[in-house]
Amino acid sequence: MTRLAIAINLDRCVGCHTCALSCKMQNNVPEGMLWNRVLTQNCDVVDGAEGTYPNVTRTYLPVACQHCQNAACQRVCPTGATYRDDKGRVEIDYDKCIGCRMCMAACPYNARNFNWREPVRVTGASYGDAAVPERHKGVAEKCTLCKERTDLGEEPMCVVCCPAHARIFGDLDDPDSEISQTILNRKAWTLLEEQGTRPSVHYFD
Amino acid sequence: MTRHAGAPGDWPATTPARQTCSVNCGSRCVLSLQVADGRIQWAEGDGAVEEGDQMRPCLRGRALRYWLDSPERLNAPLRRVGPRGLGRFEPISWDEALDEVAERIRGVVARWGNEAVLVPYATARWTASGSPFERLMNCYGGHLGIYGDYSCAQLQAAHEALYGDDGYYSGSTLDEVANADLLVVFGANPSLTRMGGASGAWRLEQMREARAALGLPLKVVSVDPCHTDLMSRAVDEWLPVRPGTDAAFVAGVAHVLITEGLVDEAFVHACCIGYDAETMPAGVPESEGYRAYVMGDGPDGVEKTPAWAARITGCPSARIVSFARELAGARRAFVTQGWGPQRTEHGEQSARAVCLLAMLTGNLGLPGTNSGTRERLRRPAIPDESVGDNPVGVSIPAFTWSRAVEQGEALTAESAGVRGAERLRAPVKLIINHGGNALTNQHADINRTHRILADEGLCEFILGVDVAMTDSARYADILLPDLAQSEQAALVASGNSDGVCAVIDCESWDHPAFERRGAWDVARELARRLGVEEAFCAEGSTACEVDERRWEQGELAGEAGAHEELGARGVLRRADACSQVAFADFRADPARNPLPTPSGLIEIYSTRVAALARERAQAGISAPLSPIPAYLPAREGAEAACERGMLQLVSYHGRQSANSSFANVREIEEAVPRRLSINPIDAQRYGVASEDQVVLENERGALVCRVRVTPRVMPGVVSLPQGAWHDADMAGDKLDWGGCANTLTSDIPTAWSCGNAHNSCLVRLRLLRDDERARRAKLQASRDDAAPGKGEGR
Repeated sequence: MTRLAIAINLDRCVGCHTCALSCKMQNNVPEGMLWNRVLTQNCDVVDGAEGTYPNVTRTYLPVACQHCQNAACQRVCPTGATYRDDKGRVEIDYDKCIGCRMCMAACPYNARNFNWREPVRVTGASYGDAAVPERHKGVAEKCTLCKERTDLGEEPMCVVCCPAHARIFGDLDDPDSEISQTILNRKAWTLLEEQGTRPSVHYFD
Repeated sequence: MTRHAGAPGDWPATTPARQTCSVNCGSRCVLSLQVADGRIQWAEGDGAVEEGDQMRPCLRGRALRYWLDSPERLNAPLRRVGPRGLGRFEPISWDEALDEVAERIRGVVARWGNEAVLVPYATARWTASGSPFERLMNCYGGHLGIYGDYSCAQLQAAHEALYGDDGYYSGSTLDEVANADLLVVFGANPSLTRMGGASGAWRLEQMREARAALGLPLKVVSVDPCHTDLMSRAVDEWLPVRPGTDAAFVAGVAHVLITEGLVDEAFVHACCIGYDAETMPAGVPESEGYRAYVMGDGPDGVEKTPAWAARITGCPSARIVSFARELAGARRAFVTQGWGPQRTEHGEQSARAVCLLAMLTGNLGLPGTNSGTRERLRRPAIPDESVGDNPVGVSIPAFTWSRAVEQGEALTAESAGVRGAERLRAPVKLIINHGGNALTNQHADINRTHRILADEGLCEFILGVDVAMTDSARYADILLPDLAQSEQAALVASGNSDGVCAVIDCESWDHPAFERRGAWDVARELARRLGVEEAFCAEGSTACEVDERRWEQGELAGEAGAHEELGARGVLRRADACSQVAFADFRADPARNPLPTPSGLIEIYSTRVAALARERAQAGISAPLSPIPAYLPAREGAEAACERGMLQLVSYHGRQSANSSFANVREIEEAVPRRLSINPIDAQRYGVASEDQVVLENERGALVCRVRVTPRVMPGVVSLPQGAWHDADMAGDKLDWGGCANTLTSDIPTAWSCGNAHNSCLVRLRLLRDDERARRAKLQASRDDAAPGKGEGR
């Protein structure tokens, strides 16, 4: 089996938000949406900090779809539009999506966006990789682990774009892969482990 | 790579175009634009080489499509209609535009002389610092020159006084951090300001990992009003100080070092003048030295104890004491500063004081140390475009141009730093602003500057050449649409912050050009009309020929096969020269390797500054100047903030834009909103919460912005990313809805170097009122009704 995943080195992440922008460009993500956001741990504002002045700390936390092995979104989807594919990615079949947004309620990572209206782009036209399917009003969308790139053996855009080289992409089912080794050696963790979703995206420092 | 031929979607397969973004951020990252149908569909980064030397673009480079396709792009030549500065234009033909510009240049030069023509500070066209319009004017008799810049004028003057050079190229490289156990950073945030993949953020991370891999400690101490992005490890320590008080902090630290016997006196006595009795220049009493200043034996009689420093800086005295001991106890400390602290009213003092910490502890000239200035910049691998010699030998500090418009002949060498003449012979009557937004947006005191520029009796003609309708472009009388650098073929050198030596062969690509024209061709057209085309083309008659000349003069031209490699690969890159330590030769043998200062030593007491103070006094000009790096309170500094019950505003380089380039891109704003940071204590005091819309105001103006409540900024200080596009009804209430920090900043130049003191700025804060919202809504509605094509900026 193959289980494609990303591991993120939080020590290296400088919070530059390049992954957020590159992802948006690559995947033709419309105005008002991001598939990939850079949060600050335990903060309700972008680029915040924890603690009380002057004793503060800050950890950036890039969050997109966690590509869970036990994906809550998939379990609640009434039409099978959300599915896990043979490479371990959680994907959406936009033709099957009926816009019920059960998935959005179920996802503990708030990773999904919904097209409440026909998508709008400031440039007036679509952009991004032409192989990425367009989404229309009434469907949910989210990170696909750059399906169109990873199908061709390339790395996801957020991985190749990172100026701080904070991301590792690879196959969790290959114990010798860089990502598997890193997860093991650096004692990587996943977000909200207690939810039992078993995410493929890992974090380490 | 070419991808996805025949793939589903509305556009055909993309073809790659190699480019950079070429704005003023210090990096030139490599972009592989994926182009189809004349548009950038997406952008690949630098994938050509192994990871280490990649020049990976940050979010701004990734957003290039949004920028180039923005509604603010200029498409046709425009002529102003209505009062200057209100942004109303009509389209005209290129011939009409060029004829009129040539006529105005000819007229102003005939009546006022070449000194009345100004090519102001502008950095948006950054592959080659020289503008073809500067070349044009140099061929046509010259123009009023500028010196210094808006980046670090105060630091340059300070460094010149201390070490004898401007500091750009004499600091240690960041690689030296690998040999340090303590990194002391004053007002610098490379993790944010140098995000490009070959730049400071990544290199510092590599240094940290290199130390960690060897099991060696590296602690980072940041002295800053804000908790910076550099502070990412548990061991890191933030020492908050109020803006502009760095010199007071240093004096408090020096007091501990002196009283506890921690000063490296052997080093100071061998390498410095102006510290104590042993090192005073001839004829200067010991009481004028830095040691006497700290110990209360100087003219002011005040002992600069940690408690004294704590009262001024807001940093607890216990932390000043512990930091001093830590600094003295470090095996090697790398002391560095950014350009924020020096961008204050007495920034020359702050800049020198930070360097002093390196000297007093002997952390200078040895592996793992620095001179206290910013890390060494890299000279470009190929030189700037040649602009020729300026026959007018007179220049003014870059920041003082609006005074040259307003006051002309009143500007003198003593009062305003005029060089090459005792005083200006003529006021500025014609401005050629190419690729610059520093007429208003990136200058200071926008409302006052608006009044100067709007007065057509002062400056008679303004030519604007730009890619977009910036706030500065709105002041043009004739406005010409430029091609973006990223749309043109050009040779681009890696940036001065990049840790590689590279040349990028940028490609033009098929884009909708409308009536836009490249600046070189436009300047050549004007040269033809002014009868100086031959001189203009002396070093090449096209931009490409000029690039060939630049290549030949570059550092890689002599290398066998380099040109072929550039042609074949498109990017020629060499690993940067290895680590360099600031002033290592000098430290090893000060007598044999003297500094270019009058004494040959580091001048803690600057005889030059002392002489300048005497000259000013004789000319009857009162200016607070100190020959030593003493703390001087600012008109809009920490003490004044307390007395007047105001907040100190820091305007910093945010992620959203490189200065004002990209600041109009909404997609970036979605990912990283531009917010005013305010401490929870102040938020409670002013009754504001995150996302509230507030008005920041002072006697110069008022702006609207949204708030982010965070303990990352110290109480009494608010911080706002600079570069936002000014957006005000200049015929009405002038309330700036764009949130441009320079609506509030002062345009009074600093006393010593005539630099920009943007971070000495006091403001009041209040919630936005409903009547202001209503007025804005009404204005927006009337703008929407305005006929299209009239060039309403936004």
